[in-house]
Amino acid sequence: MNVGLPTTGLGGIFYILSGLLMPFIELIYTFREKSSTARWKVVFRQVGITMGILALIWITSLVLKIFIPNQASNLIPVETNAIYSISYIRIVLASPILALGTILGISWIASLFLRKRPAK
Amino acid sequence: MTSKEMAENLTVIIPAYNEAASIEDTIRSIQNQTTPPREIIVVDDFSSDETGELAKSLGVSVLRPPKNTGTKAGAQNFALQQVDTKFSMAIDADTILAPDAIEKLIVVLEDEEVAAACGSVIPRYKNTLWERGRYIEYLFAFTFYKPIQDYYEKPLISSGCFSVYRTSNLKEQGGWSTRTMAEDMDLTWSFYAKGYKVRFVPGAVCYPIEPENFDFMKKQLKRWSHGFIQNVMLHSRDTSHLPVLRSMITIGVWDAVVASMAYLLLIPLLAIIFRNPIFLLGYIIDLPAVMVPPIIKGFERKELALTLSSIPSFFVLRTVNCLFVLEAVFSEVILRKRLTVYQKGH
Repeated sequence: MNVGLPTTGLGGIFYILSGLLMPFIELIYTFREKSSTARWKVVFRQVGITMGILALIWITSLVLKIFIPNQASNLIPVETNAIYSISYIRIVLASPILALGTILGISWIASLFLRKRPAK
Repeated sequence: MTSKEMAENLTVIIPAYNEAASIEDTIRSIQNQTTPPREIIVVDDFSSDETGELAKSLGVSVLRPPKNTGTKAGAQNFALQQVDTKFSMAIDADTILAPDAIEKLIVVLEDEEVAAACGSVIPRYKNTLWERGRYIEYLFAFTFYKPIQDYYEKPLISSGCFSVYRTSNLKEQGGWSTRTMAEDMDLTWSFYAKGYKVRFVPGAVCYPIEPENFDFMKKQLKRWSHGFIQNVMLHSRDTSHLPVLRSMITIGVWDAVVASMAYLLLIPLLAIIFRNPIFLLGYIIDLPAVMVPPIIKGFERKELALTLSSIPSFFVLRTVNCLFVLEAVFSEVILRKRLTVYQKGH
């Protein structure tokens, strides 16, 4: 069974970031002599898939820009100038990352109150 | 210890309720494994069809409880009392295994810290819209999400349709719990809470029969959605010291609630308020992200055409799934009305 809706929303971003982190973590494991060829194979495969996803998202944004060039500006408040528009777009793009960080931060704070050690 | 030696210390438990149509294929696929188990136990959970007789005719042990246990977990626990091997395996009665599935899966239990392991799941039939939607969902999850979860040593669920366990750890937990509608998730998170490891082995493949129509699908989606919410509420404390698992659960809950609301309410609302159909692109904006893992896996499995033609079904299934997730959240969290009746939906 699966949890939630695959690829939608912050879950997708979370797994993309987790995938991109894998080579750095594996490097640390390699320095500690805890890595192996099999582990690196998994890392390369997952990073490859992650990069593929990112590349297609980027291509999609380009296609959208070409076919519906005026739509984005229609959604920006009329009185804005060009510089503000760029900032606005950056905020829109950064907001999922900020949201992800905020949610994980809240979850971490909540865990401090909920913490219960395992009884192994 | 080799995987053959480990399999000689393995009992497979198959809970079955009216599974006459599929039980033979399931048993034969286990008997024909490259490393067959020592024993196969079919729990004929008071079936009204020929399930028990068919299983007996294939030479496996058949147990029949005095009355229907009411849940899959109940039937599995009935058999677990009889298990004296070091390893136990749970397989659904509508699931067949790839010939080397047990050989590939069981070997990870050599690590004494590993309590459970699961393999990849691919729907056996890919004919209807619902089966095809599930096919893409699984290709995506088992190619992208699950290997990442395994890398961080926290696969979210050891799938109930095909998982192997260290029997002592399983018995220590009291077997499969009946307190939630997702006994596999409950068991996996309970293992983590106790400090044990759970592994995912992508090369060990099983093929269950997925719901072929909406009637079966709605029962499964309802059970899974309620099971997820019940487990989140049940395990919020005992998993709070596990940052990776906690993050995955938090993100899962957030997406289940917020993405579902965005899908069902926000997107159509924005399209109406702004009088602009461009917002409806939100339903398929992540199409590229969805396509990559299934296409890679579909290519490897030589099923590329099937994969591409099945992608639209995934979007239908996902939208329908939103309804069931929101219903589960509303019912379990707000109304405090727990789902307690196990409805079979494959």
